[in-house]
Amino acid sequence: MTSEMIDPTVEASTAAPGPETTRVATRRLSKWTLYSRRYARNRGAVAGLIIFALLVLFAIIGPLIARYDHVELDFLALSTGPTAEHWFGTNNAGNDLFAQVAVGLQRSLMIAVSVSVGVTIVSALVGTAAAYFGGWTERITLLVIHFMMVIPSFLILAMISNKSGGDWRVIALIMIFVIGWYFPARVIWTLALSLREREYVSAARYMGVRGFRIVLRHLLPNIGSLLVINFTLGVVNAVVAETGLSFLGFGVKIPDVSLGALIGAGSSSLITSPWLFYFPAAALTLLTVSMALVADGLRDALDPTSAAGGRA
Amino acid sequence: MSNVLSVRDLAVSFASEAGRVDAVRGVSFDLEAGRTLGIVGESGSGKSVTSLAIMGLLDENAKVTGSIMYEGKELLGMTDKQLSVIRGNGMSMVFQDPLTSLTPVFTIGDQLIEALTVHRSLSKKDAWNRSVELLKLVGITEPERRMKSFPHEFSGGMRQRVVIAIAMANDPKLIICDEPTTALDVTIQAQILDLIEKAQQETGAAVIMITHDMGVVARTADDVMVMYAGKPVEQAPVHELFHKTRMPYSIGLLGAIPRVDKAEKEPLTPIKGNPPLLINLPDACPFADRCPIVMDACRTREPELLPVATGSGDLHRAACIRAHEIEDGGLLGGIPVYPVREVPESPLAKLPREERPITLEVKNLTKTFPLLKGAFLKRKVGEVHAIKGVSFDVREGETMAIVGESGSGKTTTLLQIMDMVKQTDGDIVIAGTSVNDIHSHKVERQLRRDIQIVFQDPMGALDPRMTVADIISEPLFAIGTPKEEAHRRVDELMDLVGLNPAHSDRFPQAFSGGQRQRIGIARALSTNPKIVVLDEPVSALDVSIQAGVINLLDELKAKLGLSYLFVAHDLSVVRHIADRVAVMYLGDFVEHGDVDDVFENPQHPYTKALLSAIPVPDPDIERTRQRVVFDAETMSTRAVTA
Amino acid sequence: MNVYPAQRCVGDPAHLCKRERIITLIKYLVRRALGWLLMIVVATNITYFLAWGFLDPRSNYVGRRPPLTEEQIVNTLAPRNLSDTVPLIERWWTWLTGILLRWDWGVSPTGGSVNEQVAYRMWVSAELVLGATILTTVLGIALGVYTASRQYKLADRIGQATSIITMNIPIVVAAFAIVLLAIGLNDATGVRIFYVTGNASRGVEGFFPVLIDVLQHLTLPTIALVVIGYAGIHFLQRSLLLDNIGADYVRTARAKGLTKQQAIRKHALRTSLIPVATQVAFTIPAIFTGAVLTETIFAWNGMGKYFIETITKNDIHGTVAVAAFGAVLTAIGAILADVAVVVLDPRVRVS
Repeated sequence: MTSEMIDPTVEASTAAPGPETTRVATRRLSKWTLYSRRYARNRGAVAGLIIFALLVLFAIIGPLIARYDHVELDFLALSTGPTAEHWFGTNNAGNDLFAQVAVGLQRSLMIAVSVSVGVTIVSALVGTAAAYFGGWTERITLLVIHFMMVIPSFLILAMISNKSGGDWRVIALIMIFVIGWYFPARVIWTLALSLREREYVSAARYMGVRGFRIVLRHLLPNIGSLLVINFTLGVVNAVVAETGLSFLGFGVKIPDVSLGALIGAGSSSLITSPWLFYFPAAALTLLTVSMALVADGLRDALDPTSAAGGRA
Repeated sequence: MSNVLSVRDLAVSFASEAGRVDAVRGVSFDLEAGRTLGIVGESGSGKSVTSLAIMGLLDENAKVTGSIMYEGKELLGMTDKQLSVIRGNGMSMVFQDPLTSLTPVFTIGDQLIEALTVHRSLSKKDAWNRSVELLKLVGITEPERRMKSFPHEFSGGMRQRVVIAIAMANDPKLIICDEPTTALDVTIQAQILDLIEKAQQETGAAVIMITHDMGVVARTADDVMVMYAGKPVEQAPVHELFHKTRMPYSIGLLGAIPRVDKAEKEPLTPIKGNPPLLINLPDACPFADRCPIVMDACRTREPELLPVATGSGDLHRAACIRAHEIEDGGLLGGIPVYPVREVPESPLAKLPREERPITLEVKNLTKTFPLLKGAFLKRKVGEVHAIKGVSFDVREGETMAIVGESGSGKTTTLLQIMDMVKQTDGDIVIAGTSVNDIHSHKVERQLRRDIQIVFQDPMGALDPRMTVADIISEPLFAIGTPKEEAHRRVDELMDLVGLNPAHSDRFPQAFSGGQRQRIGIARALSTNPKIVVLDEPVSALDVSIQAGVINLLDELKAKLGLSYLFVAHDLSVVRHIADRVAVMYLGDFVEHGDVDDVFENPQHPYTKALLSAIPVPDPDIERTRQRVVFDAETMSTRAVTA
Repeated sequence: MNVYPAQRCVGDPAHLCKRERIITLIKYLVRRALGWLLMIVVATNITYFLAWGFLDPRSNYVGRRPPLTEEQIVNTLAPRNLSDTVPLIERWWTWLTGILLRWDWGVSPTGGSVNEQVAYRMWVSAELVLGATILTTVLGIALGVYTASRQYKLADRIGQATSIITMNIPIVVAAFAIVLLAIGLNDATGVRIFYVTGNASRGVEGFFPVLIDVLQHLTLPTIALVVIGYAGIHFLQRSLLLDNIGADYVRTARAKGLTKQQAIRKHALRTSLIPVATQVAFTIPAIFTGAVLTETIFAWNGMGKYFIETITKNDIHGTVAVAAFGAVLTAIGAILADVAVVVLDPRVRVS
């Protein structure tokens, strides 16, 4: 996968841009302008970004403008549908669903983003180091990765978070280190392997540049676009994983709420109080779909030559 | 004889991010049966696009206008279905890269049989027999067994033979060859060209030979069309073109080619600048910015391809308003069209070789690769001797070249030296220090100042995420140069290699291939090395740009007293630039000595065959040469019957 | 996977070579299977220790009315190899030898046999997972091929938009949405067309009635799994096919005289199927994870639901059995992927 991009104001040729059909650009086009222009052309990606931004806004402002706190119980309004009082309705204990959804969205987002950041960093370092240093480092790392893929990690995750008592930070940490990092690390390792063979890496070696400096200066920046895309996809994966976990009761626990927990709690009264399902489900779906659209748009903007066409 | 193909005013344009690209802007020619048209041009000239347009294989978003008449039928406007009846049947094509031209999951036999059965209904037996016959015809041994092989079991040369067999399968009237030998070794190239000639004789077909190599043109073409910026700028029979060139671009092109058969070192004529972008071209001569004899009138209107009288009576057309002023031998009013450059003389050249200090000495260098088996714990089951004990030395101010074909071990030799691999039974001595004496990273880094490398691929050798200034200063920082001094040096170096220091904050993508190679050279020179190692530094560049870089290397050698260790497969470049040459075959030096000696008086049969295979860009010489082929089993040459 | 470029069978006629190739293939697969077996054994053992770290069988007996004495609890748990009064190593050894010698995976804290549970639940899950996998693959590949040859046209754009949405709907949302739709449909027509709970009804006999009953129960969860799963294969197949459509050998095929459609169907498709086959094999474990949630929602008593029950009931032996099951599925997936590559891709041969 090459991350080389030819400046469009400079490139001319058609089937085979030969070495002599470019010339030094008279006006330097910043990389970022180029990326944003490409991104903006993808309407789905723009829509995704807007929806995501709105959701984040809702997560932040929602709890502030809600009429009720999410733990408050309104005994006069048990299991009521959406009304002017309770905009999203209430559950059978009297919690205001609007507040719950807002707080739940907040919690889901926090977990997902922090998990994805952690996963991206760990997988990037592990993947590139394994590819660059080769030999035993590589073999052992790959062994660990393949092994982690064999263990049913969702099981381990469920076991551990059940015991953790619902503290979201612990859950997030486990998600990073137990289930999150090894698959992206493998993908990065594959890419870094191909980069390792590039001549500019050999050139740096022949110039006497130290190994670690090569990893930092040459390998990591060139997988940068992959890391960005991985990060956004990681958010989606983390949301889905945490939702599943909380839905089953292993993840976030009362009084803390997440969207998955809400759906789980509302599942028994699905037919009688469907709003308990609709609102959290809508928030959840909008979150995942918008992030996926953003990831897609980023992939097209940063890596137009990339072969992957989706979360394969 | 009637025309097999008649093209009139062919034009192709594409939409792209930057605007509409006019890849082809008005090609016209006629081609008769049994004749060969050579289309020459560099990258971006539109020659490949022309051939794809004729076959109807362009992308859907390509707009094609004009007229292509094949055997009296108009091809433009036909549907894919109608064209597919003609493709592979009346017209067939041989592509450039044999390694990707065949489907990896089907056998050779299946692909050949498909070529036959898609046009005629043959019984399985008949199709099989005919396929075996075709394989025999193209020179593939044991054809029955080979029918069941897969493409990856064949070498590049053999795969190209299969592609030619497929092209010949239905006795076509027109065979289009798009750079069929560019990806192949020199000796294989000669064989494939022989084969195409044979195919033409067998089928009586007309051939279009597209290439950037003037030697190939001299050998194969009856008529030549030189393309530049999407248009033909000169069209003439082959002798006319080479000896009575009338268009400045063609003159420059011929002058930029190093000759393998000329002993005196004539400086190559580089054509300054780059070909224009094919977007929104102004109505002027596209070559105007690079032409040494440009006038104001050249920029007012694009010159048409008009007949020019050369005294020989043949039809010769050139797109230059000064064509009638130009005389034979590339002269205008007695003065060469391209200014003659001074060959830089190095003061060291006057000193005999033995008296100059040694910059690099290699004694008995060996390298074997183990063949490993096993999934987790690998065990050795055999060895490959990539380098079998080579020794040589390079003196100050001297250029040493190692030539060989793929698999000879020449690149491995270079990399062994650069990796400073300790030798068990030999030595590598760089500027006086032996690699066996390196016991710490510090000493190694010190030693690396004296030897630097320039790579083949100008795109891959520079990190696309670093600015030019960063790239050139990286070796300086690796040896601990302070920042200001490094910046000063960067400007100095860019000047030295002919680049504008103001562009040092740009990224490599903004530069052309030739410029990127100059950046690579600047980087290599930054630590003031004593010897520069070059791995095929010009093979990825266009001919006219290549000349500029070769001249640059010559200049730098003279100015800075450098030594070069060169690896190349292009013997003409080697003849031009090297002082000493070693011919490498399967890990060994089969010949080693002064460059003139080796080229004029080759001793080893392999060298003789190698020299014989290189096409010389002069049709008179090329077509009358006696060529020889190397026989690996007997290690001797045998003559090729023309 | 350590495979080497194909080596020619030197000198022999083709049919002997084929036999040779099949033998080496089988040897290779056996080696791989053993490797995976080792990993599964290690993974299961590690899970055993982890399970003891995070689960406590005692909690089944805590808070009972009347409360049980310590002695009573230990006497109940010890024979089941679930008492923490016995050293961990001893417990582990008893468990391990039980499996190796008698294929006995132990009992739950309340005495139920793990073997029995797994034996019954395995097939329930298999019913769901198999059907979902096949449908996902077929739908994904078909859509991928269809949209690739109509790139950028309306059909492609609609397909892509739909897929990117369905791919990212969490299984929980999808499953419940389908339940609501099905109930709506049931109510609207007044007939119970689809069942939203359970995998079979009691008291149904005869071949056709049983078949229809199974389908009525199977449809909804399968739809849920397929809807969120097909898009991954769709995108992969599409992009691979597009890459191959632009490949040189497809151009050669057209230059031979095949029309564009023929060249794509015959040459590009075959080559692009290879990576898709491997991907499909690897999705088997993913579908199992999805099945966990689906079984919970649709109340199917399969391995997925068992997974949750064992954790909530602190059933150590059960949890470990589920872990082993998951590991085996992954191994099967990986081996199938290897087989697919070796069978479909002639460039790859095992040495």
